[in-house]
Amino acid sequence: MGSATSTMHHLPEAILTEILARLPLRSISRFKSVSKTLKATLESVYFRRLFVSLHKDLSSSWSLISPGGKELIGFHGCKTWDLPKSLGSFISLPLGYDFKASSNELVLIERHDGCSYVGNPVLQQWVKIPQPPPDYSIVLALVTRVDEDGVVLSFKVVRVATVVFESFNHSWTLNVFVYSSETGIWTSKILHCPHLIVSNRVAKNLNGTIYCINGLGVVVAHDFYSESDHFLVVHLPENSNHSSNNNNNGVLTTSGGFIMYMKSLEQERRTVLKVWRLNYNDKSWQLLYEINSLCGFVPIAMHPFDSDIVYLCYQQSHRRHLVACNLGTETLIDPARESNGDFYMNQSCFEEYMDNLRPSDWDYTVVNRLFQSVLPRWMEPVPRPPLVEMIDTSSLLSQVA
Amino acid sequence: MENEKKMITLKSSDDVTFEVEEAVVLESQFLSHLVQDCPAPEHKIKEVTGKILSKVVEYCEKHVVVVVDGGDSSSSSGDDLKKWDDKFIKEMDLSTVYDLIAAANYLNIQALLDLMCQRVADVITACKDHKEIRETLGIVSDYTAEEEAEVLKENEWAFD
Repeated sequence: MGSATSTMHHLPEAILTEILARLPLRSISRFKSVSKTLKATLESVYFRRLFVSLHKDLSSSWSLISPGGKELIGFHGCKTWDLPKSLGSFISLPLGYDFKASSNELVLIERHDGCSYVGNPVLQQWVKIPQPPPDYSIVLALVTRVDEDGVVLSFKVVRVATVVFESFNHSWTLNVFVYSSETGIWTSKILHCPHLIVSNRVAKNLNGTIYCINGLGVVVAHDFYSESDHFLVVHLPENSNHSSNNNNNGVLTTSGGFIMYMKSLEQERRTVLKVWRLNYNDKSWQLLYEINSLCGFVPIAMHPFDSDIVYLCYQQSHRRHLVACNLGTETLIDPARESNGDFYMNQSCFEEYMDNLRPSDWDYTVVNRLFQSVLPRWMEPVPRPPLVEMIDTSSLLSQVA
Repeated sequence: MENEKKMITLKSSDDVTFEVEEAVVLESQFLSHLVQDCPAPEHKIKEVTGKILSKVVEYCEKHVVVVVDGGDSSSSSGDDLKKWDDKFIKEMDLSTVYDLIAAANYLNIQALLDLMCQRVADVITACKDHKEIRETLGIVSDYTAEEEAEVLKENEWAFD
């Protein structure tokens, strides 16, 4: 350190790495174009460990999206990514395409003729999924295998071709097609499930396992990275089989690495909101919250990182509002104000989406059809299947035009 | 009552001296050990110039005072301290920041090191593209034109 002007090159390499690990992922991506040597540093295992350890307590960006691609809730103000706009605004669905499934940061979009892509809208990387076997089939789920930092290592697209009831063992047999990013091919698999899977609800998924809520008070789960050919049955807590409406089973969602279940119940002429967490090991439900005096409020979604925060629908005359509630303090909160406009709840999109329902009805099916897109705390490219070329968003839009 | 505070003299590489309270010195892990192991009244720090040492002393004095005076109003003094830190770094050019990083690293003052590293990170984040980053940090590209174009394409999402 003489009197001459100091530059970055005077710093020890370890310090330079410390500085770079404080950059948001968007700046890290830009920095890769600065120099080859530094790109190698930024892509090293050591750097990733350091980055994740510095950001582990921070929320990442996420969105709640309708099947038509409208963003109902969006948070993009995280220091981990430093996105200039919401996740939803990165998504421009090509004409004729719909959202069919999501898992972590990946989404699956499909056209009515079965042409589909899996991609990361933020990184603008898309993988074209080859046409499934010719038999008619519909998308059941997109599942992912993640590492300890929540980074996607591989994905599978699952389609159902036929569902047949076998009366001899009172069970449903599903003929499914599975496309794996590891092999790049479709394989066929026979699965057995004691309950019928209702296809008009989005299957929630966590670590390669899908969880489908069924109208009869059960959740059926299957791990698509296992060798098993059976679905596991988990009974929902406090389910009354006498319920006349099969669609009033509550909301299944994920938060903080757990499957969560929320429901508002009428108890002794008051409304109670209850939130449970599924303990994976013994498949039991743990009651986390029981909040009174929430008359007129129905759960919609949960913050994917903070299970204290839920989003509720409040119905007043014929209008439905989306509000946020902190279950820990039992107060309604204004997340937009707390995060300087980096968070928003799109009331008009929400109302429009909920207008599919008659005002007097409540049906959790529409809520369970919403997609959650959550960015990880580290950035890796979309897993590329063998012999498949990755395309960017503008090529995707021009290819399908 | 122990009103008398122990004073220690620090001497920079270019022989500028700073008389500080012992508590100030204890902000630095390196100096804490030095003072304990060698109880001399004056310590020469050969690796740090007077200009930079004055900044280090200024930072440590401010942080010691706030921590000691903390008590009940700790949260408000925490906010004040943050404001002070912001002002402290805002007035500094990058060359001084680098020297302070090296000094904080050598003297082992973690909070100052964190503050300065974040400052450089913020400067980088504010750059609109790779060219501006190179210019700001004085980095020479080791890419061929083709390689650079390829990396730029891969990371296109981050530029807009």
